[in-house]
Amino acid sequence: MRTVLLLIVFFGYMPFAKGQNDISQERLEEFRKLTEHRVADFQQYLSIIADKKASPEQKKEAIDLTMDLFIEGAKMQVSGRDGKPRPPQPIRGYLNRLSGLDKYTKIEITSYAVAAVSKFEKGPDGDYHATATYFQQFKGFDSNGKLLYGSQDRKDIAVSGKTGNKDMKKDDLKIFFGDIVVRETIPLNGQ
Amino acid sequence: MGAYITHLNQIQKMFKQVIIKPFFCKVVVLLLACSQASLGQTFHALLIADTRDTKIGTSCETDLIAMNSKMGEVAKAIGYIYHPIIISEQNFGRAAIDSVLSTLPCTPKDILFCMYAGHGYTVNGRPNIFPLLLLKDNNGWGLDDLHLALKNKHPRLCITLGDCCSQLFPEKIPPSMRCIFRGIDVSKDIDILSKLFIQTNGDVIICSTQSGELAGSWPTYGGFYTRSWLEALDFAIGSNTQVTWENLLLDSKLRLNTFINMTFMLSPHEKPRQTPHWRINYGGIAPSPTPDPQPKPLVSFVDLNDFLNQLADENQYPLYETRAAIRESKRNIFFVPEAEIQIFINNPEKPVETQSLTRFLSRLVNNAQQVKQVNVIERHSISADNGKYQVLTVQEVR
Repeated sequence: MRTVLLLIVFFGYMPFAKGQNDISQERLEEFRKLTEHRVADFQQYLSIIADKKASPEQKKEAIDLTMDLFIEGAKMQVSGRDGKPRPPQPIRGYLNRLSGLDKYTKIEITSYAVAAVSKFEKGPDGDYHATATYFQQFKGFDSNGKLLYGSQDRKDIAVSGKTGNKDMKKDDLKIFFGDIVVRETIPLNGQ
Repeated sequence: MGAYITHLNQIQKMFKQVIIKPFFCKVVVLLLACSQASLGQTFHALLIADTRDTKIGTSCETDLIAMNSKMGEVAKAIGYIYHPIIISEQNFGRAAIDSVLSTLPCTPKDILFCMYAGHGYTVNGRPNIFPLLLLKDNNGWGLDDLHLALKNKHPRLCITLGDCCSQLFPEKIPPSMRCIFRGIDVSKDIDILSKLFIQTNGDVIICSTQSGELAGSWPTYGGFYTRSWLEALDFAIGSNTQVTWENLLLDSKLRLNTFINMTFMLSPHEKPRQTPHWRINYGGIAPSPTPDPQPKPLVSFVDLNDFLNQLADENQYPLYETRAAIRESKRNIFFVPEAEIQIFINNPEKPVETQSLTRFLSRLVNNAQQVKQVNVIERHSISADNGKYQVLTVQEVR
């Protein structure tokens, strides 16, 4: 009987204990909003890095700011000219290549739809996870303004909200971007 | 005092007639007298709006509703009775204003606030910087004449705000709405409201345009300046322990300029020139600062706000190099080198992110296209011993 009572107390306490550590939906919504801002920042940085008119100083700043968003080891997937996804590459390598793309005289990277961020859910690792979907349009032109290559890509970013830092309050998260995966590529006219 | 005693005696006689013990009678009368005295502090809000005008009627109504609501909140927060007087619809005109002025029960303990939302104009050679009001039954009365008439009711503090011009822009849907600062309970911020409305005596007259300028508005948005003023007031209430009427009005002007620059970014030739101006007369004594346990910052709150918003102003400073130069030349004026920036979404007491100063300023300069406005919450920020900011709490409005 005593054992049964102990088991009831134990299992009765467990959900309560778990619930106490969960971050409220209202707070998670704030972090979702923050993530939306950071995705918009990321897209702006890509635009700067690819812009041939941007100064080296500004490009370097944009690359550093981009790297601040990502967890170490994060990778970026891109599509080839055939529209098929290529193996992922380290973010910094991708950014450096984007900055130095010399086959185009002019590059425009813009967004063709508003990015969306899913709700944060708690994972088995105790951290919170979401997916940010952004919509990128890439256009590369020659010196005559002719479109050499263009595409519209829908990409997903794995977003983590990390807890557990001893300096943080219990309902604080540190937001990091993880790997970026291409979900869809639509070539544009001009290829 | 003699009148009070006479009053007490008269009421005492009345109670005696119904056979109530004299001592009890005196206590009741004393309580009544005290309650009479405490009812004397009234916040009169005279709201004059040309809501029936075919062009600006809807925007005037928007301003009327917003201002009535906000002044009601202010009055409640500072413990004043709120007395709104609305002159609109078919009553909009000089006759109704004169009638109100002749009967308004205003005492030297009261606050008298007036908003005018309607057409205004000026004429060549008019020496006065304040416009003439286009009232339906009178075209020769100036905003300053109205202000003087209100001052002659001898309130403790008299504020007149005119958001008016001679014509308006065509109606169009705004590309994006500026969000009004939310999340702060007005009733909790009595110290700041006290500085503006209780500790300040004298008068303030404000006009949203200078001679020859146009006041912008949209129907469901309201007057551009009225909206900016309400935002600045909301923001000051929630964040700025250094608040004065001067820096509140400077912030309103800054917000108006930022709004106009952002809104007309794609059509700069349509951009209105609108220069709010004001005159403040403190009734002999400037308001004393609220005691602040933190060291008094050497930096100006308005200048700091202005600096951060310059970094995010791609319209005024389209080149990255210009914004970066401003950043480098001024950052040390406002911040210690190791300063941190706390960013919040809804509640300044619960930021969502902390960044180094360098990263934050770099982000602002590179994201000028994304960030419409930076709101600084001074009361949740920390100054170092030298008065420069060590921790700054901000909200990015996008």
